[in-house]
Order: sequence, then C-alpha cells, then structure tokens
Amino acid sequence: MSTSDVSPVEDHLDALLVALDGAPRQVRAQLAEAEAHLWDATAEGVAQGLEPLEAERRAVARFGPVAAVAEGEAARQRVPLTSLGRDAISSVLGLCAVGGLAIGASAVLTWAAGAVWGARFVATDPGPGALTAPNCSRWLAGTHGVTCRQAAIADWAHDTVLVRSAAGLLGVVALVAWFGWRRWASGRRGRPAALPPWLVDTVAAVAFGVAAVWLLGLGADAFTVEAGHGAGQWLAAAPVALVLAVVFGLRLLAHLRRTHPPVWASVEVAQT
Amino acid sequence: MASEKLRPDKLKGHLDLLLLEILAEGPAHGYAVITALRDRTDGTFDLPEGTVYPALHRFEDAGLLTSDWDSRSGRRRRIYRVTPRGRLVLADERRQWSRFAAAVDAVLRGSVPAVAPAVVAP
Repeated sequence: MSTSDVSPVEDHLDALLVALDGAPRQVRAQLAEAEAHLWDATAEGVAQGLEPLEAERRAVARFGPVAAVAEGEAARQRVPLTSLGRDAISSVLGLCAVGGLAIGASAVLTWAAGAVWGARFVATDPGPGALTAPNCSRWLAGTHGVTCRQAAIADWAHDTVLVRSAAGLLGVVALVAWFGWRRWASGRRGRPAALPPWLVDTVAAVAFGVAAVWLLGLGADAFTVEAGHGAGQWLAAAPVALVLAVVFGLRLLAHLRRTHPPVWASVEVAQT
Repeated sequence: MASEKLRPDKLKGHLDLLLLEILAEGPAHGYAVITALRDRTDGTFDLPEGTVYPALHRFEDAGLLTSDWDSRSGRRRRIYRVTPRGRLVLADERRQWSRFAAAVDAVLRGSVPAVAPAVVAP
C-alpha cells in the first residue's frame, strides 16, 4: 500500500463507500472486495515495472467508475416488479376480505338493532315523494295491518341487511382467494418480501379509522336531523370499523416498536 | 499483444456464462476471475472490472455461487465456488450459446454469396 498522501486507490475506495447503498455489513463486504481487487491490481502493475502511483491509477481506471459499480449493486438489490405485484395483489385481496367480512358482521348488528329497536332505527324514513301508489302496492304485498310508510321502512331495513350480507359473502370469497394466492405465491422460488410489513396495517388502520368516524358522524346526523330514523344502519357498522381500526393500529404499533435502531446507535451504546 | 477491444455492451447477456465457466474450474476470488477472463480473451472485452462484482453477488443471491472469506494472504478475499445448481445453469447456458453461435455462424457463412453485388441487366 502506498504510504504517500496521494492515493488514487484510497480516493476511489472513499468514493465507493459513499456511493454504495445497503446494510452496513454488506457495504463493508463489498468495500473489502474492491479494496483487495484494487491493491492486487496495483501489485500486478508494480510487478510489471510501473511506478506505484501509476500502478494505482491504472488499477482504478480498470476498475471503472464508482457510479457503474454502485448502480450494479443497487440494481441487484432492487425488488423485482413481479414480487411487488404479487405482494400488492395479496394485500388487496386480504384487505378486501377483511372489509367484506366487516360489512358482513355489520349486517348481523344491523339485523339485531332492527330486531331490538325496530326497523325505523335501521332504515331512513321515506319522504312523501317515495310513497307513490306503485311503490306502496309493491311494499304492501304480503303484509297485513301496516301503512305504506311502515312497509317501506321494513323493506328498506331488510334490503340493508341483505346487501351487507352479500358483501360479507364476497368477503368470504376474497378470503378464500387470498389463502389460495398466498399458497401459490409462497411456492415461488426466491421470492423476497417486497412490501414492508407495516404498510398494510397502516392502510387498514387509516381506512377503518376514517370509516368509523364517518359512520359515527352519519349516525349522529341521523339523530339530529332525522330524529334517529335510520341511525342504526350507520351505528351498527361503526363499532366493527372501530374495532378493526384498533386491531390494525395495534399491529402497526407493534411493527414500529419492533423496528431495530440504526446501527450507529448500538455502536454508541456499546462504547459508553 | 492485446487484440482489438469490444465494447462492454457486446458482452451483455454472455458475461454470466463466462464467469460461471471460469469459476466451474475451481474456487477463485474476484480478481482472479477477472484476470482469467482478461487473459483468456486476450483483453478483448473492455469491461470495467468493478462491474463484475455485482454480477458475482447476483449469482450468489440466485444460489449459483457460494462464497467464503479467506485472509491467509494477509488481505481479506472473498472466494467464490459454483454450486451444483450453478453447474446445471452453466450446462444450460453452454447449450444455448452453442446453438446461438452455430446459428449466427451459419448465417454469416451463408451470407457471403448473398452480399456479392447482383448483376443487373442494363
């Protein structure tokens, strides 16, 4: 190794250290390889009769620009788009499954709320414009001793439960698809984990949190504006969204707390 | 004397085969691989030597190579070895190259009469 202050090899290694990106151990290994290479090449040049400094310059020139090496290493570490796509599909299927099942669960709560507090708590009061003769004859078909308005409310409450149950069934289908997809994807050779584990939890916690607040707002609005008519359809769904927001929020918190501190932090701790 | 150098892009797609071929003959560190490549091709490929390392690391990620550190000579060197899977891939790469080279060669040999100027009747 040249003892002179001027050393193209050392300068090149410094530049390489700055340019390389990755885990510290990996970067150290890459740098050690480059260092061995450059000094081997320098020794070869000296053995061929070059001055040490000239041998270093030739070794550096042969090694090539720092950017080319750094880009080569970065390209190697880049997550393939196919892996990102597989993870994204899996995450979307999983979220669709949870969302569908959540709506399905709200169907049960909606039905229970209607059974306890009546259909008017679950369905909004139809305005006078909706109570037309053809609508009334349809709603009143098969019912006895109720007004058109009552029949409309009962029908709408029933529809609310039905639509939410259908969404729950779609959630089951998405869940089965999610299991199948995960099984297929886990069998793919060399598949790296593309998406960070906290990403889905963040998306889900935010989405269900916003949904819970929005549903509670609609429920409160129904109490203030509609005298509570139809408030149950929102208030039956809000707790489900709230529970899921808390569950995903706790998972997110656990991920964040598991994150390792930067390496320099542990070095400082070790030195003190 | 060094032969006329080819641009690195001419090597694109074939570097894998050459590196695996050299390493299939025995474990070696990066500089030895690059020196062997340079010597055997008489310096034909004007390749920035540092760009070989990402390729070696990519092979290791893919399970075609394994590596160990050796510091017996006083300097830490990473020694690469071809894995059984790497040998299978190498055999496949060799077959593909033989077909490719034979096909290109056949076209080039067959093209000699074709490029002769055609006689056009006045």
